[in-house]
Amino acid sequence: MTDDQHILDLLKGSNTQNAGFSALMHKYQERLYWHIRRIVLTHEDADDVFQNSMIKVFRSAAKFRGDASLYTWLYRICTNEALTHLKKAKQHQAEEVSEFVANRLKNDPYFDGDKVQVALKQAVTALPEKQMLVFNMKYYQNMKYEDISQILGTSVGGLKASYHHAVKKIESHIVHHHES
Amino acid sequence: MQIPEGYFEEVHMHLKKQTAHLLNEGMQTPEDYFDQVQTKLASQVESNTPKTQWSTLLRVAAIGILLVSGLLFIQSNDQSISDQLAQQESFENFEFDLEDLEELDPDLLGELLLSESPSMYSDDELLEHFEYEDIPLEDLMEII
Repeated sequence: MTDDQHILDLLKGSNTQNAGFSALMHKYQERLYWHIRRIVLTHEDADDVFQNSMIKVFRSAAKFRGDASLYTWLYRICTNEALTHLKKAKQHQAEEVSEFVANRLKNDPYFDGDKVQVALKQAVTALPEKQMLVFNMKYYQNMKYEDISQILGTSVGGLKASYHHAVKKIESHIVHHHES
Repeated sequence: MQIPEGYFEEVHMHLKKQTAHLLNEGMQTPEDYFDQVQTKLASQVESNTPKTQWSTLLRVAAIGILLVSGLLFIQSNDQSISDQLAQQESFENFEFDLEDLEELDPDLLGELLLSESPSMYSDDELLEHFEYEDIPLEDLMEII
């Protein structure tokens, strides 16, 4: 694995930018793609958001001051891009969140999950923004609270509380879905 | 007992592929998506790099042209103001001269008008009038 500082140095050098970008993609692209995909749900949207985020990273790498780690900075950019995209998509739909999610997944050729998986996505997408992000990062990516705290700018205690609420709401949603 | 070299890495990769579907809750990507997107983005940033340099050069050139135009405009403005001032000054001097030249011959006065302030009295008819008609000084003063 290439060291983050080395990737940053490459990205900031005018002759080594492309090599730095390749190294960054090689190390982070899968993690970042799946992080985005869990927010926007469909592959088509995730692909758009991911590519836009990466171009943004490439263009602004020279200005990156290193206040945060490269890992944190990348997640922040991708999270913001994905949330903005999801908000726009929701604005154009008059339907309820559960219906919105079901329709998106139904129309995605790269989703073949069963009813329980659709119900889980509906429950997660219906959560308040921060709870959704914490749940995705903790449950699917097994990230440390300290890292999530850096990315979202929330205290570790606040994140633990958010995760706890998120799990309770999802459980309740799944049970309700199973009974009905 | 021995195991083949790279065995655990191979098993790990195999299990990762087998369980990806479960971990991603039914979400998949097109085959070779990550290789393709990496190639696509790499070519995009490569083609963007020289464009960025060109656009920077163009921007600098545009700013340079604007600055030069601005300087030329200021300079021409200064010049026209100084021309106007000189013109006004010569006109004022001319008026002052008129006061002392009550006995001035109209023909001479016409020549004086031509040489002192040609832009203000360049009307051909008026000059001809001054040169060839015997206009009294009082009338001339009224015209001026």
